[in-house]
Amino acid sequence: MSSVTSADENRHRDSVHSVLSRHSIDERRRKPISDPKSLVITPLMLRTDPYDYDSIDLRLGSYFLIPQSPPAPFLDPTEENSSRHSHLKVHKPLGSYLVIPAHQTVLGATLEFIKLPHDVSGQILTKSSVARTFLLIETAPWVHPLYRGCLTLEIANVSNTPQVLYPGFQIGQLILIANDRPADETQPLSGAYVGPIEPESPVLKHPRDILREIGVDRYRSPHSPDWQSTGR
Amino acid sequence: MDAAPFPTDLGLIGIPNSQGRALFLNCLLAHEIGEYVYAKRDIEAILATNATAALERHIGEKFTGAPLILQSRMTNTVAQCAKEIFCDLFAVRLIGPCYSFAYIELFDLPNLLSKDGTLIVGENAKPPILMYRAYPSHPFRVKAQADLLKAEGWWDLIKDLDSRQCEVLRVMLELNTDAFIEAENRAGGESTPFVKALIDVLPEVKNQVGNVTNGIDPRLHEYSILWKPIAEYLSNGIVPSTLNVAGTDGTLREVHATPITLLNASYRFYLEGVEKLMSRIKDQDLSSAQSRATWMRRIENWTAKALEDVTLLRSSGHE
Repeated sequence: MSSVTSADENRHRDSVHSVLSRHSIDERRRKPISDPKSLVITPLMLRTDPYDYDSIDLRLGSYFLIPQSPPAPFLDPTEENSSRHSHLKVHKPLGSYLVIPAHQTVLGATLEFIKLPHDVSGQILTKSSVARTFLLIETAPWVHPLYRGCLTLEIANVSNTPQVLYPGFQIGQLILIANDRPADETQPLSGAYVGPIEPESPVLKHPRDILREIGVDRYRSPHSPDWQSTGR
Repeated sequence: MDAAPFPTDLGLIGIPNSQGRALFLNCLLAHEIGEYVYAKRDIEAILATNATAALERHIGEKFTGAPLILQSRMTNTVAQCAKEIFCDLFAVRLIGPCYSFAYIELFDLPNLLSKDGTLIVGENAKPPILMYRAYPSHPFRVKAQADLLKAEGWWDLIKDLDSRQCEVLRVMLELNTDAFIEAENRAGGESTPFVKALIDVLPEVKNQVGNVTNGIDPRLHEYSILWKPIAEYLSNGIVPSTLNVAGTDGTLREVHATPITLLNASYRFYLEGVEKLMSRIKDQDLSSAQSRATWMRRIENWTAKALEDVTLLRSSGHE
């Protein structure tokens, strides 16, 4: 086995899963968007030193989706638009606030719109000061390369007291991680979540289609006691 | 407890519910701001004087010999039409061609054109464009806007826009004002004294618009530099509130466009760029009206977000 590695392999090996530092983040933000390595974070409110050493603080946006009891007794992906009908959209402009009761959840979004480079993944974490009030902001924290949009936050108040949310406050931090191989930026973007600027209801696949893909012939839903074919 | 008196200098603007969620159609609000300025600056008195003089020229003794109440009504007819033109031109001066695009869109004026882009109604076609005395016709108003866009220098920056909105402006620019005849006099031949009087008042309308908008920078230069970068951001599905733009020395610098430039550049992309955007997205049917509407709504959302962002950035001290 040869001990000689090419310069490319060395570069990849060096960059595998490395967390981007302040310098790299800033460098990528200054690239033209035609460059697949470019990073967009807008608006970046702090004029001087907007980054931590290895992360960027993200702020809470002003739109929310508050879960409601749906007309049906459950949220069921076999019902068209059931997820969309199960939320109430609320706008709380900067300077205003939203109260989350104890043990309740709400969908929010970051104030910042983000576009990730083709060779970088992201992870959003609750800011430690926020987490210590038992407020969690994210249960699906991973952000794929080339993602663009405001990040939807699944905010949960797991404490025993109501809590007040102020749009514009720093609520999370984004960690950027270099991948060992870049995604192909020439491929079309997946349309379901391209460019959201506010929290959006989930796009739920029908269980029939998912089960058919994995070879299941039939399924039942709460709406009918009978078995139904997946069409396989 | 007595309520506080309603402020005398506060205007209320009502918009149709159907218009509320469509960002670009809200460009029409600039017209309503013009209505407020028109009343506040008492421009009606000036234009009424001009309207009276114009009617004397075109109707002669039939006007001067008429009872005063009839004279007043005739003057008011011309002055009311002049007011609408004033508010349109005020809006164009205030926010640029995005007002005209919204106007053409709201009133579905691309239907003035045949499929090949020629004017269906006009001086060389039948029927000519009718003007009703109650209100200036849409083509007449668009022509006045197009003339101002040309005089201001906007036309050179938008004339290559690939959209029927722009074609309507082009056709109206080329149209002679003789094409407008009064519907009330259609059977009687060529007599169009009210239209002629209104056309006579237009220079004073433009003069008054110039007076009240003196000092407003139309942001032409900024638009000429930033409309392409803004389109590039939108075609990549990115909110264009922070732009990396190459300077004259080739180095990139961070730029935040003004709201006027954002509106005009984004509206341009909305009109001509949706197919380019959809080609970047997986499984999109360009011939599907529903898909196109989805992505046009996205462009409006990104523009609205950019407008909020740049306003916030400026208020926090960013240039």
